[in-house]
Amino acid sequence: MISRVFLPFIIALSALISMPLLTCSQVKASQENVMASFIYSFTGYLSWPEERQGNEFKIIVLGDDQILSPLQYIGSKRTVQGRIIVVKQVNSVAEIDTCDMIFIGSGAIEAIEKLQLNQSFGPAVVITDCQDCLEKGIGINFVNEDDRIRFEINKSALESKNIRISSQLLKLAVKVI
Amino acid sequence: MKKTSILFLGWLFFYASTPLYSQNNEIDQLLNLGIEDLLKTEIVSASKTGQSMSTIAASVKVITAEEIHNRGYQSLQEVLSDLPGFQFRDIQGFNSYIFQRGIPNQNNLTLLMIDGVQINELNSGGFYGGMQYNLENIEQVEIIYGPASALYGTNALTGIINLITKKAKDNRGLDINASVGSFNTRKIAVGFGFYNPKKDFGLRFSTRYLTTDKTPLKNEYGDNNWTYEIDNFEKGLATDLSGNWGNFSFGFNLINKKASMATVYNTQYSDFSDHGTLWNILFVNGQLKYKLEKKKYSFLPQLYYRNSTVLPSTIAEIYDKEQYAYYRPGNMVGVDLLNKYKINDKLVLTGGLVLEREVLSQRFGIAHNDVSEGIKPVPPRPDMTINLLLSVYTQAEYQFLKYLTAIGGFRYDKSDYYGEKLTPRFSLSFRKGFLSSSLLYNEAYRAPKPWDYTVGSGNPDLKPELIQTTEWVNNFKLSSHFFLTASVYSSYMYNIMVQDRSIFPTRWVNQGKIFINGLETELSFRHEKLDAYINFSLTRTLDVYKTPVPEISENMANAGFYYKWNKKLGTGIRMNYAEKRKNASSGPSVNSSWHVLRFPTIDPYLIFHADINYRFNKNFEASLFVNNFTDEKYYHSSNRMPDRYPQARRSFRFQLRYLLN
Repeated sequence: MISRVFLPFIIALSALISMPLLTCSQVKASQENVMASFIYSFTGYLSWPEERQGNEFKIIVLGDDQILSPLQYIGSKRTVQGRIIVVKQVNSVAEIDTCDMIFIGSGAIEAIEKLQLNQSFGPAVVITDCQDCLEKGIGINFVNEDDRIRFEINKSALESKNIRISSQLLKLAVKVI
Repeated sequence: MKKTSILFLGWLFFYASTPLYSQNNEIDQLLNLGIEDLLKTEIVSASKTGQSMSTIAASVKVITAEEIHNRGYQSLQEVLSDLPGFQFRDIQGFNSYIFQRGIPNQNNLTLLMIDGVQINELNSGGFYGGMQYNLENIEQVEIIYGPASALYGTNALTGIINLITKKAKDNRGLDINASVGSFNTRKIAVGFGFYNPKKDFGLRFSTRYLTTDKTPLKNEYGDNNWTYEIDNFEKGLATDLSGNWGNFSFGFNLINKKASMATVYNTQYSDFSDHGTLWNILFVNGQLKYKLEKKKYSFLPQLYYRNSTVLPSTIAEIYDKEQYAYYRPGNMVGVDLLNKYKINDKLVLTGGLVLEREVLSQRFGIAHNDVSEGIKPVPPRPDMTINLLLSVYTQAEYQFLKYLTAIGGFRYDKSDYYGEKLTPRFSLSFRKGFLSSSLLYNEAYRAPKPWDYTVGSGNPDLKPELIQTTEWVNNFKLSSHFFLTASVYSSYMYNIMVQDRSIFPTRWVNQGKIFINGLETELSFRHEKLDAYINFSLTRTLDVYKTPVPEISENMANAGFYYKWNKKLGTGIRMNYAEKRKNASSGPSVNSSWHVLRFPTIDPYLIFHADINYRFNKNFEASLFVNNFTDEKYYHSSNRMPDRYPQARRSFRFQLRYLLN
């Protein structure tokens, strides 16, 4: 009896919800992929001083294995204003050399203090994803709000390195200091 | 059945003819988004597998790979032991029965899955709670509390446990894990992952072998229930192979558990022998998945194969002169076609079709011979029965008034032998800032097995066991580091199958009823250096006479912390407390008289565990685990004697891990 009543309804409903749609992008993604995509997107809103205008755009990753592969994938597919993206993983602050961006994962928070002492990497944007890191002199910090990635900007830290920030990016940040 | 099948085949054809669209991978799609769209992108944790798990409005707990490693969990029971809402009957070897939310059972009211595919034994419907799982290859364990038949069908009455395996993308290189410890425990686990990000192609292989003796039960150590000759062991071999290539992924799991059956029967004053038994069971799971995800539409089909076979080398019983060999094969092939359709920002529809064909043994194939012959009997292949299951599940998720979300759905099952079953679910959730709160109503059922209708005098009118649960789930984010969860629930389980002893031979009838009211709450603190938790469960399970159901402690609590002193050293302590509980039955004992033991009480217990992990460098790590370090003597309840199952006293285990990424 149930089958006679429900089956046509079930079939109709299932058919309705299985209709494919001709739309494009995803609205759910893994955290590391989203953060890596953000990092790439930031390059369109930041301007580095002329001293960092070589053939390579160098991103260094410290203390986070998960974001490495999406960044490397992006590096294999995209460029930054014609510059080849080179992604390198290091295990300590001492291994960081001249670069354009440094991502420090939450597994290497202690490195932030040491980073202030070692400025040999030039005008690089330091990005983290940890609580209360913005005040420690890093440039951009990711935060998770309601399962969505947001970012905070330390404007003075970036400007002290002669890195210019688009006003649009500042508007989108949840916090600017 | 014929008409139904034709309609379903038509439905299936419709699905098969649905055009598929070429897919870029996730990053490619994200790169095509503007930064403002990235801000709107919802993060899906690795725990949410794309299957319907992500849409379950329920109380959910997660145990991570790091927690499994730091705490040194060896068995499924240990993984669950620090969570609220779980109680155990560990009979030391053959099985550990896991009672979620206050219902004693044969592990057939909770679904156990590996990567979303059930690993419950096909014939009995129950899973094994022992040490045979490859926990070194688990990324995380998701535990869903409450009925979930509206998404998963039969046997999902008290919850779901999903073991999510490590994938090559995030677990590359070589990892080796070896340990030795008390009870002659030896374990070796090896894993290797390879991933090519340019081709989005990955493979991961992992295997683990563990052998251990169980709690010493010889003679006085086992309160004189067994002899000095008792053998009581557990051996587990688990192998996983998984891979992905773009939107395709596959998984293969092989689990072989070998254990002694000696602790099922006492040997003193009986003719059971307590050595020479072997329960040898093999599980094989395979799955192939495809993922098509658009902005508004997702199609996530999955093809799976399951095999659970009690191998013919099993010697289930040994008497003074006779030994009995058992054989019980079973397999299933199924397809699950899951669709998600986001109509707009407020309304999401989910639905799917499940088609399963299972081949089950009608009974054990049994052979026996004289022990003195010196050869093992070879059991025959039993008669098999084929069952078809056709299911459709669907639900709508609607967001309104900004902070409210309503979910309503049902699953319709049609089985060859237990007929039709419609299972609804509803929830209303409020989410704003630090608070998320949900009101839930869920139903679930456990279908009888084909032979339950005919056993003894037979009962063709046998119905599925049913549960109805109303629940209020609350999650508070007290600060960026403090979290509080609290769930209050009320369940009514009825149509419980009990043996009708008014006729001979006996038969199954739907007469049992129980009422369960409970509270589960946990306060946790998570910071870079310190991870701490304390949880409490109040569980009141009453029968129709308002009498507490045996084997369930009303109050339970767990607490623990893990502190990372620096990048190399971490230490932790955990605690489990269970209030007294009644044993399930009484009977003659070698140590006690009948009247003393009528529904005897199992004493409360409080046990502590400690762990130390030291990382020498990025490759090597050493760990020491001490379980029950205060050497508490305590028992688990059972339907045997109250002194039947003493639990493990103080034990040590030393472990070395090598990682080469």
